[in-house]
Amino acid sequence: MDERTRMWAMVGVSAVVLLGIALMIVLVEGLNAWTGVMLLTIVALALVALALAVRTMREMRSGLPLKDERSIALAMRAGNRAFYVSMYLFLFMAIGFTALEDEGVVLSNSELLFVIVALMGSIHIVLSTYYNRKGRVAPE
Amino acid sequence: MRTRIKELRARYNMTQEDLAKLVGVRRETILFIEKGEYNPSLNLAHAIAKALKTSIDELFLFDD
Repeated sequence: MDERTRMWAMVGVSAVVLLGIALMIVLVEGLNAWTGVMLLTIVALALVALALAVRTMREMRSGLPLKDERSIALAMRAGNRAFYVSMYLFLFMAIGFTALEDEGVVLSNSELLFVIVALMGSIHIVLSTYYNRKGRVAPE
Repeated sequence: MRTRIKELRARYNMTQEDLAKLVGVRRETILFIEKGEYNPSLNLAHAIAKALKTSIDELFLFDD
């Protein structure tokens, strides 16, 4: 599979998954303030993905590869750091949600899962951007 | 580590993008190697040296 086909396959799968999640949220939870926030997040994610796809297409047309040894090393480092940052964040969230439970604020399992997935993804995007701008990926 | 990539690119009238296409990497990778902020693999260092018609030890200078 060439890079162009792989990219369009990823865009297609992502679109179907995001649309499926949005539909599921509306069908299961109905429309309210919280599902509105989730739908807005999904739209934001879709827009970021679209912007990335457009940039990627432009780079592909210029004849440059989409991935190389540095970008792969960056993605690995960002993924690794995102995992550890998320773990600590979830630990604090667990404490926070326990405190909020006493105040009567309780998130359902699907809402909690959504928060976790959205946070992990966002942390990964932020760290990838940070390492990409910083440049250095070899051990200090 | 310092590199002579910029100097040799100028000699051959080559842009970062031209060199990146020649060696099959992204333009940012060439940029960060030139700035000394990314250490390339031995294979990539060899490919860059070959593209700039020089050797690895002529291209990468270590302060030791």
